[in-house]
Amino acid sequence: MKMRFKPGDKVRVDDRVAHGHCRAPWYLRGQAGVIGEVLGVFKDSERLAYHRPGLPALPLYKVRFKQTALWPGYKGPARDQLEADISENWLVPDAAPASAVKKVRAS
Amino acid sequence: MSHDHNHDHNHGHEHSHGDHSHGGHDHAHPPQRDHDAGPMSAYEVLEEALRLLLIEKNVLTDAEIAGQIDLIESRSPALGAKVVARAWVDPAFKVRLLADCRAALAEMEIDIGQLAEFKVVENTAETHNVIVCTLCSCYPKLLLGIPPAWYKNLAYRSRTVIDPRGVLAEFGVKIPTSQEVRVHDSTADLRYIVLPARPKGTDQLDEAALATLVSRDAMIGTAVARLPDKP
Repeated sequence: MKMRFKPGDKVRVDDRVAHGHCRAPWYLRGQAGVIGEVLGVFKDSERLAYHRPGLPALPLYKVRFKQTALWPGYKGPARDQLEADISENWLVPDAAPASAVKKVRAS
Repeated sequence: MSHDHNHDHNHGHEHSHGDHSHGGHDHAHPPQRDHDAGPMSAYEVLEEALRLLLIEKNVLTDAEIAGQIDLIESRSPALGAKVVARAWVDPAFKVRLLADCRAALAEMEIDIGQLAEFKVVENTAETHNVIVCTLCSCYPKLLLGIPPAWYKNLAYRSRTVIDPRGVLAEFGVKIPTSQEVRVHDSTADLRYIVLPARPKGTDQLDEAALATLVSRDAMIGTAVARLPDKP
C-alpha cells in the first residue's frame, strides 16, 4: 500500500465533524503536527466498531504535536510534545491552503 | 474488537464458597454481585441481561465466562517488569524490544495475540514518557494486568494531555525542565508501555532482583523505577 506521508512531513488533523467511533480526538482536530513514524496498516476502527470488515485498511501514523501549540498557556517548556496515533484519512498536508482546513482553533 | 475497552464492570467475586451448598450441581460461577452492592446501574442491568441471554442461547457457557475473568485477573504487572528487567540487562534485547515489540516478546514466550500491537517507549536522560488514552482506556493488559481505576478516570485522561507535568508532580514525579515530557495518547491500534530508566547503583543486581524495582506505575510513566533497598 502506498503511504501518503513519511516521517518529517508536516500534517494537520482534519477538522471535520464526525460522529460515532472516531479515533481522532477532538482536541487534535485542526492542529498541526509532524509525522514521527509510520506505524503500519490497520483495519479501519471506525468501521470495525460497527461490525463491518474495516476495509479498506488505512495507514496509521504516530503524529507529534508541540504542547505549547496545542494549549495556550501550557505550563511546561517548549520541548514538551504529545504523540497520538492518527489514521491517514484524518490527516491533510499542512502545506494545504487554509481553506482545506475548515477551522483552526483560535488561540 | 479492535481495542480493549476497560469498562468498570463490577465482577465482584468475593463471596465465600465454604459455607453454603451448591445443591450438588457442578458448575463454575458466573460473576455475582456483592450482597451489599447498591442498586444496579443501567449498564449493569444491560450486562447481566446480555450475559444471561448468551448463556441461554448456548453462545457461551458460564464456565467460559468465569474462565475468561480468571485469565484477565491472572495477568499482572509482574510480566511487564520481567520484560523491563530483561531490557536492562541485555542491550541487544532492548534494541529489538524498541524496534519490534511483538517479536521481542515472542523471544520470552509472550504471545501478544491478534488484538493489538504493542510499542515500548524508553525513558532517557532527555525524555520522560507517560501513557494515557483520552478516548477510552486502552491499556496493555497482557503485560500490566487490570488498569488502576485512576487510569480510566476522566480527570487523569484529560489532565494528562493538558498538564502532564502537573499530573506527574501529583504522583510525586518532578521532571526537570531540561527533560522533555512526551505524552503518548494511545488513540488507535497500539498499546504503549514505558521502559523506565534503570536506577543508578543497581549494577550488582540480577534480572530477578531488578524486576522487583519496576512498578506498574513506572511502566505507565507516572512513576520511576524504585531504588534498591540499602543492604
